[in-house]
Amino acid sequence: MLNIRPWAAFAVSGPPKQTVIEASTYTKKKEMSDWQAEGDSIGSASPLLTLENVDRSYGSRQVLADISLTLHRGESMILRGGNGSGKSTLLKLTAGIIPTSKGRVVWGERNLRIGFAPDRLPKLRLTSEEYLTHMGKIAGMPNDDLHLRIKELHTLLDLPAGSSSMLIHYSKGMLQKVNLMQACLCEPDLLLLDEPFSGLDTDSSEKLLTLLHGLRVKGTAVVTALHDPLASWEAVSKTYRIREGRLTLEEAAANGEASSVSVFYELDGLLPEETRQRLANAFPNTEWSVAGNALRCRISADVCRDFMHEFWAADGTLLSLKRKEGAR
Amino acid sequence: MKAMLEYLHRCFIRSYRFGAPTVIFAAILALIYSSGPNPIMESYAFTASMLFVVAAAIGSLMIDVEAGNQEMATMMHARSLVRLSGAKLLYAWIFASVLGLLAVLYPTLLGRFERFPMLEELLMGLLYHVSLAGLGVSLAGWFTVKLFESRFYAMLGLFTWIALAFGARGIGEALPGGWEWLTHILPPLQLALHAMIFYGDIGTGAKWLPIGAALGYGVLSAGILLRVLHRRRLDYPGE
Repeated sequence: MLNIRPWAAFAVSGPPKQTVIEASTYTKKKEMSDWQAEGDSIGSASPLLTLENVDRSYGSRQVLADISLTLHRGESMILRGGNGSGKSTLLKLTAGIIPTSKGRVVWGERNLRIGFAPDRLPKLRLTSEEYLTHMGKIAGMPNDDLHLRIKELHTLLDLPAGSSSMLIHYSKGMLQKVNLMQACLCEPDLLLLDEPFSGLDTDSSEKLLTLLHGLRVKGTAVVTALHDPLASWEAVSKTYRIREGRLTLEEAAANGEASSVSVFYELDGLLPEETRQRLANAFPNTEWSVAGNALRCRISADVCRDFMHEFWAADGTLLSLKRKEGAR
Repeated sequence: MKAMLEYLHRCFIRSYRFGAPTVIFAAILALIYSSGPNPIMESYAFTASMLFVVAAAIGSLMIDVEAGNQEMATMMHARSLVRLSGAKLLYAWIFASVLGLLAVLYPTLLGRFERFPMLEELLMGLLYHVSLAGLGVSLAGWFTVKLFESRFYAMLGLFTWIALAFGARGIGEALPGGWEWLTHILPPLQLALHAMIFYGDIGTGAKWLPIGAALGYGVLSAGILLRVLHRRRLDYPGE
């Protein structure tokens, strides 16, 4: 009999603490700290994964050069980079799906369970339950556990279990949910997700975030290739950027140590005039443009969490929040 | 392995990829046995040679039955590309062997032979079909998009290799003295066909040798293929 996991239990009825706003990009500061503290307490043992001076070329084109990194249990990592920058290649190398051209990938445990969600799952002539049952059986999961887990994941990601519809009739978002379910099926030690939020609506993104936070707290190391900003996940993750085949820690970029690119957030929202001044005083480096109650702010990445916290406290209404980059 | 075979069976059947080779093989059986009576082992020689080609087609369709991303996910659950690819080859062999069983039983049950076959003829006929089916499948694994830049070149390579297997005897005779050994590199199809055509005139050892040679060649070919795939993993040359 499979025990219903604590994170799954609350996720089914909706997360009790986490509040996600506008394309699920923001979580209140206190809750993010909670996630971070729980996750960090796990990620301290010997490395789960080490990449040592890894190169990867396709013919004469070098996609990745001299990549070295270490990942511990419970850690999460975000990979950013433009189209074709090598994010998917790095995930595949890490999963052992393709070999390195040079260097090596070392997994910390002999029987490491790796979950991998490719950028999209093809439309199969199988129902989601059939597909997941086959994957679970191939992975060696006991039948009872497998059926419970499949129901649990369907509930968690809000997809009808037992549906007779085949995946060929599924929308992009529904396929993506099945893709994510297969990756999380066996509660992996290492979870590798290629654009996991692609195609998901706001509600589903929120549920996926809850799932990822829960897995991370339980000790799963998570690597996600992302394009869009996702502050609640960024808050508990190290963000790396691949540029010209090289991997750089983005925090360093934000601190001006290693990169020529600055990261900032552009907020569109509504804020009463009386509280606007208080916020402007508290964050003097934020750029404002105002038209009546509507405003647009350019917030630097390092103060964004604090700014949002104060913004909510001041009864602000968020219309959109976009992550942007600019040359220094 | 059972779980993987069940999954592959469902994928293969629902993809309808089995349709063309199965229908073509069934049509060949229906055509050649539309009139009778037919000689037993000579007829088996013909259907076994057809099954060799059909099995190669089934193997080729089976090894690429999953789309790239789907195969990556399955590989992660199977924890080994060798296990997954081995299961695909095994499934294709089982599927083709069922067609071989049909080829042996169909004319027997419909009375299309000159006489009712002896048990030994039925069993040996089945073994020849099964071994040549395995030989065809083991070759097909090499000619896929996993190892070729395009499906066109893969198919061209497969058809060329099949044609060389059929023409091995003629190639051996055309080669200059001392070079006949080169034909041993080719699949031992002609050995099996010769044994079936002259079944009544050869000894026990010569009857069993083609079965052992076909199975040995198939196992060796599949083994080397799986080793190559283990090294290359899902690193498609077309990417």
